Amino acid sequence: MSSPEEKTLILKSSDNEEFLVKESVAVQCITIKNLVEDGCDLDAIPLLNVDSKNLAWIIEFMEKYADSTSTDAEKKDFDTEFVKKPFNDVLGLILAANYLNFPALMDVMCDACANEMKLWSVEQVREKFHIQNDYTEEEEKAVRAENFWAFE
Amino acid sequence: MQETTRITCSQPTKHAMNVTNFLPFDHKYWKNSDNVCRSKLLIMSLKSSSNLSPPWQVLVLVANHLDPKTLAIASCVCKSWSISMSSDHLWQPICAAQYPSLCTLHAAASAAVSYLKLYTLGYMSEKRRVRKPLKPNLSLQDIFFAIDINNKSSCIATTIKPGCELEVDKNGVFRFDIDVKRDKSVAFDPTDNLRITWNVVMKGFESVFTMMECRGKGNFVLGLQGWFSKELPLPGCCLSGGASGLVADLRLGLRISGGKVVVEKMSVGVLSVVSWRYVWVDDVLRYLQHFLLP
Repeated sequence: MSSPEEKTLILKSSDNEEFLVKESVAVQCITIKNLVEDGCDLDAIPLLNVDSKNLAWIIEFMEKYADSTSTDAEKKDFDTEFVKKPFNDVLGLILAANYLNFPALMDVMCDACANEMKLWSVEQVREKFHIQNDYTEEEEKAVRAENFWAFE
Repeated sequence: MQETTRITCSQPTKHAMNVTNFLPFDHKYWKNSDNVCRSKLLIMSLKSSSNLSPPWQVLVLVANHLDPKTLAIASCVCKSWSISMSSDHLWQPICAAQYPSLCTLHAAASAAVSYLKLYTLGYMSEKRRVRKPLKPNLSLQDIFFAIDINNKSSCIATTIKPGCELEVDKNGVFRFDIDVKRDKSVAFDPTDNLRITWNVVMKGFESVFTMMECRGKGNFVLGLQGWFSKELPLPGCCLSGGASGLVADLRLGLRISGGKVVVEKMSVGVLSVVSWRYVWVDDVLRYLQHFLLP
């Protein structure tokens, strides 16, 4: 029986692509960790809510973070480059990180999303999230007046 | 869209948000956890917003990372966002971090005050503390100075100076040098008792404020200078009684003529006795507003 450090897992994305990942790296995702500890004996672990595009990115992130030789500064630089993705992809990664319960990735992606949102006006938020404005003119005026300090 | 997963888990994960992806809403797990109920409410309130948008779950996850201004802007996006972005569980940590003393007010009244409201109060309170005063409604062009100096027998110096002719001090303080015309000035004995009156008059003679009315010999210091001062009254709009901390200051520049002296120059100003400095022009104009404007 091979020692845990060497064990490799097969992760299968929702579009049936298979990825080989070392168990020690993959268990950064608590979901996967729980499965392994509970004795999941499937050949490949199916991740139904994660497509191959996101899974590839997540594995890239996991491998960087599992690497004990990378310094904090290197991780920061990696993060800065990693988050430079189209906004919808950032959101997709947040959902995937949540599904897999991967706190480190969640934090990095949520912070990136929050930083982008900081610069937006109300109209821009609506546009990026495709939200329909259901306020009447008076209602909108009232809610903006309530939050007047945010517009200063 | 919620898919039920085919991965079997012996125990649901502890991370409340994550559970939503595994368990259907009627699972008993939901009813057992307070934290989960709150996030469930958040989720339900967002479900009604657009279906074509990025999944609403994302917003719930990101909301915890947003700073107050962004959260407030997000509240204005649509009705369901307004409910979720003003939720107490988002604002409580923000309020506790920035205005911890206000958090005790949350349970003060019979109906709880939301943390968002408390945050807004804290923010406004900070801003108002450092608020700058408004520009004065009075300007030097609107007033003129009328200054008379009398001894027992006659008027020894008089001057009327429109505000527009006053030379503003280079430091911007309320202090002006006024030359007295020769024909308006009479020689007097420096030991005489003098009566000084300095009036500030609104153009058009609409109102007058007496800056100084005093008697005495003046403090003849530094050679040929006479110095007079009188405390200015409080406007009375905020504080009743007590000192204003302001003093009207008048100095005479004298020239010897025969055995007597003649006033050739006056310097007038307003001093703060708290800082021992002349007061800014705008501050004095705001002060005078109380007495000159209706």
